[in-house]
Amino acid sequence: MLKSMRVLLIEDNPELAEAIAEYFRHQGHPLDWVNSAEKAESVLQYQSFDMLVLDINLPGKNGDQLLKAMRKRGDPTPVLVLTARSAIDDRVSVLDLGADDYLVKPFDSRELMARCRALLRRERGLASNEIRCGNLVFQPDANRVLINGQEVEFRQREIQLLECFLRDLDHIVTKEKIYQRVYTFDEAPTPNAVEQNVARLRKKLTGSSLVIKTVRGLGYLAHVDD
Amino acid sequence: MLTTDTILFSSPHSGSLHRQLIIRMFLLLMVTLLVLGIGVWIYAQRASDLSHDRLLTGAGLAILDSVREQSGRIEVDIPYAAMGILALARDDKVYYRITGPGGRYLTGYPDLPVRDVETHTGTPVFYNAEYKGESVRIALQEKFLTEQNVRGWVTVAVAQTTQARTELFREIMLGALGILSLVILLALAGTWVAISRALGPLYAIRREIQRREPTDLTPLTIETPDEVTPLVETINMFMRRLQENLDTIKMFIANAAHQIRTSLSTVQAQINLAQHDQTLEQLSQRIMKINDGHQRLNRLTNQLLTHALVTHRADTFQPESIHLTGLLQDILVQTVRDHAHTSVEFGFHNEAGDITIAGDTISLREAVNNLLHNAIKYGPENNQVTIQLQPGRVPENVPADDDRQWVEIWVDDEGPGIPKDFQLEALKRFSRLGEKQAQEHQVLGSGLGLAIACAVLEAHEGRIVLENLHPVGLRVRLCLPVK
Repeated sequence: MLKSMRVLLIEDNPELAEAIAEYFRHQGHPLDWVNSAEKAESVLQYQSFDMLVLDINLPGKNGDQLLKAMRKRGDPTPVLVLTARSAIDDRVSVLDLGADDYLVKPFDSRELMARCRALLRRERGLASNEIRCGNLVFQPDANRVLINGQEVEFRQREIQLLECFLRDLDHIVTKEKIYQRVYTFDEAPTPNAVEQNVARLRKKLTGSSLVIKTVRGLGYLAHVDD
Repeated sequence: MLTTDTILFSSPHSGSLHRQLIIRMFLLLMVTLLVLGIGVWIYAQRASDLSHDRLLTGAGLAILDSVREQSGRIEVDIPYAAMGILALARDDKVYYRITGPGGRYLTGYPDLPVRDVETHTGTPVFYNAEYKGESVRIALQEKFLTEQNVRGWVTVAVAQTTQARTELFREIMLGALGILSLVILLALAGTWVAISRALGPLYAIRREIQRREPTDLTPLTIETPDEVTPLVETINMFMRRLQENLDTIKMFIANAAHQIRTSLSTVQAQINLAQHDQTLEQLSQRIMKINDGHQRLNRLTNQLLTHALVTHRADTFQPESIHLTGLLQDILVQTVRDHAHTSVEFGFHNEAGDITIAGDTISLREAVNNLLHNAIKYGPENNQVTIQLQPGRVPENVPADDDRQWVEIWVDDEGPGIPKDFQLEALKRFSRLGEKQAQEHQVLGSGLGLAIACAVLEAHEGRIVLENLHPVGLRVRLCLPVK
């Protein structure tokens, strides 16, 4: 999974589109580019993609119309929206229309790539038998964790904790949530025990692309830094 | 931004004050004329009736006077004088009819319409009737005869056509109406002159403003009556504020232009140098510098646009209720996600509980975002950035009658802080600590972050306070009223 993703880019500025396309191909991901919503619609009729990168401000038919039409006919392809408008106003409405993420221009190509990967990870989620986060590979069925291709020994509790974080990437995972998901009723863990477990997990994850940040007062946040 | 669209507006128009006043005055005077006209009409009617009725009464009395009993018969000798009085109205015709006791016809015009008078009071009765195709006024008078042979009421009806009396009525009526109309015309003319004079100063103000250059915002110096002086003062105050705003905008544009051009030139220079770089290593270093310069330009552009956005929203936003804990956590999570690869630590601390305020989510989000950005940028590598929600103290310089509850958002970092003398200055647009500190931390801010927060807080009637922490760090306190 995630070895390569097929992306359709809908962007009317040729220079920007070419730069993005070159970057994606350079990273080993084939990228198709169209410059209008109308063309995108006709391409989508006979081809399917892993995800769409959609500029919201297009000449002719607007990006949000395309998005709305897609969601209306039940097309679940993940969509990342690019916007140049003063960001925040669009943010809410675009997500309401069914976009999965957004990025405000100007952006870094690396950031775009990372967001695309994260989206696809979220999309395929824990359903597949192999989860790949950068250089970390987790095989839920076999309870195996590979970092940089090397298998690392994980205890059962650490595996459960890892699964808990992977399920909620980029979101706050509270200690209460960890109690519920990782421990049974009669174990009654102390906050201290959770902290120790997270510390151990973090140590084992050293050198991997998965970062677990502590946000004091809120909980933990796991992020894939690839 | 000013566009021609916003300049070419037309104000809501409620018509000419002058015309409105004249029309109202005219209507009022017309009503007066109508009421007085009815009065005059009644008066003229009464006056003409009264004078002519007296003549009729006189004639009737003279006739009654001559009624005698002569050997059981009633005799009437119409005196000449009686008819002589009535002859004063030369064009009118006179008729009479006399009846004895029991309504027996004695003499005169037998078909003269005589009413049955049952009152028998002796006072004359007047009424109008139609006789021989003309309208007549009839006076009915009675006398009780108590002779030996004749006992009973003798009735005299004297009738006269109404030409003279109508003439008199018309004369009185026309005369009075003529005078009334003249008075009303004078009143209207007077009102016209008075209104013109009263509105004069307004026309003068208009002329004065019209003849000015668009850039001339000096105060008006027209002499005006007391009633108009407040208007002139308001206009002057408005122009002063406009001038101040224009000055601020000019300075802002000058500063922004300076910053953008400087950054662009830096990037341009690096690109030019890159074209002459010989080794791959030189080139890759150059590209890193170009990337840095470009990042700065990005940040600057974003902040300029954000500043424009929050300033614009300050004038236009509709307050919505904002759940502060939710908003702050949301912002913090975004920031943690964006800085997950760094060693900066984040924290959230809520002392104020669940608090909802009225405000603009978009602006507040930008304010806090910019403070977080500053906290990370100016702090050390292993920075500790904390957002706190604290029950607020009522800030200084708040009016005493302001009994609103306050809440504070604190953004703490472990950076070098801002020297006390510089703290006020730091809140202004494009003010930054010296290049020395900037170089020390390898960062160059645009100097807009705090100004954005400041503008947002101003729009929310809040305060912004900077405090240095011990041993290191800066705390930015956003004090907000809970509405």
